[in-house]
Amino acid sequence: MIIGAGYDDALIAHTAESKENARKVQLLGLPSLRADMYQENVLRAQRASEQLGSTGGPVIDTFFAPANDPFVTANALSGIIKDENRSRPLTNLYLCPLATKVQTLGFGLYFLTELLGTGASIIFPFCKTYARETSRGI
Amino acid sequence: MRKLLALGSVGKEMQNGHSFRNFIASAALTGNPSESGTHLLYIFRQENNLPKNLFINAHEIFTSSGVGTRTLRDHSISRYVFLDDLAGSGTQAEAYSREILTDLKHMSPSAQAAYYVLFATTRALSQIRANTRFDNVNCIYELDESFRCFSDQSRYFNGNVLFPKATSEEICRHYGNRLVPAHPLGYKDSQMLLSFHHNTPDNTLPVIWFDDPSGPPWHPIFRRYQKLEL
Repeated sequence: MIIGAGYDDALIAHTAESKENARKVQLLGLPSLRADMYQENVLRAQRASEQLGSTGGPVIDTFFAPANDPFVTANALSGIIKDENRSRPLTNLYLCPLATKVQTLGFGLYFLTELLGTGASIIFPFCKTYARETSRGI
Repeated sequence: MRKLLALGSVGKEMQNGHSFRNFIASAALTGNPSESGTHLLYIFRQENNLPKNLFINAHEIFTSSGVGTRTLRDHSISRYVFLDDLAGSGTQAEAYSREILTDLKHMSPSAQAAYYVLFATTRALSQIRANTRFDNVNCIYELDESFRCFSDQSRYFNGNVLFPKATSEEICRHYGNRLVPAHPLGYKDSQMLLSFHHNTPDNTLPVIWFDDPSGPPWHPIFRRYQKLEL
């Protein structure tokens, strides 16, 4: 399960719990939208570390893709999956984009170009409302 | 920094979208192989899996055909990419635009020159776009006025803080005046709080980085390794 980990740690925890047996890796937005947002993102995602299978620190496999470039994000996902398949072939893959809209677009592009017809699915929790301002910044 | 260099679109563009021969990256803005631009290009090349013949020093753009005359070394190169870690004030980019791009554009009018940095202040970007001959100027992280330590929009004093902004500025200015009298709050009043693992720019407050053995005694949090001019 690849989780595009954004600021909403409750959502990260919730989706991770919904597939508790899946091995989780997180994809963080780097470069982030603004200079301080990367550190803030790491701190927020860390709050869901228990559900991600890591209680003693940031030991979960972490990858990076820009928060504002869907093409590089799609490319990064493709690289991650190719590497994983080389070491142990995947039977089931969940993509869970919970970060920026642009990064979500990158997940979609990757799915459409390389995963159609495979055992992969996108988990996307649709929200009725969301907070426009997520933080005051560092 | 390594990850930032890997994830930018410039490296991917150099890998995929363009003919290698027509694309040259340069540490020209530093112009000296002992400075940090070279360090940056080394990591950029590694992370993006690029061949080393795409990278040259500024002086290699031209070849000398006699005293005071220089000609373009390779007319087949159509895109020059200049990389640097920081544009704090834009002064360096302006200087090298004068020293390199004026001749380059004269000798090869169709050549495109891009200036890309990891971090740039909004002021520096405007300055470079307005006053240089770079065709494309961009950065990964743009630092607006809120990243200027004591500006009206400063992000560092927007809540409960131990020292109010005015007191903090007074302290930094007081010691800054002793350490670097010409630029007590950083080069050209940049007032930045930024440091890289390889060095601290002089745009950052001098109280953070000052460590000159021939100057006043001071123990900085993040030392700046000065460029010694002999």
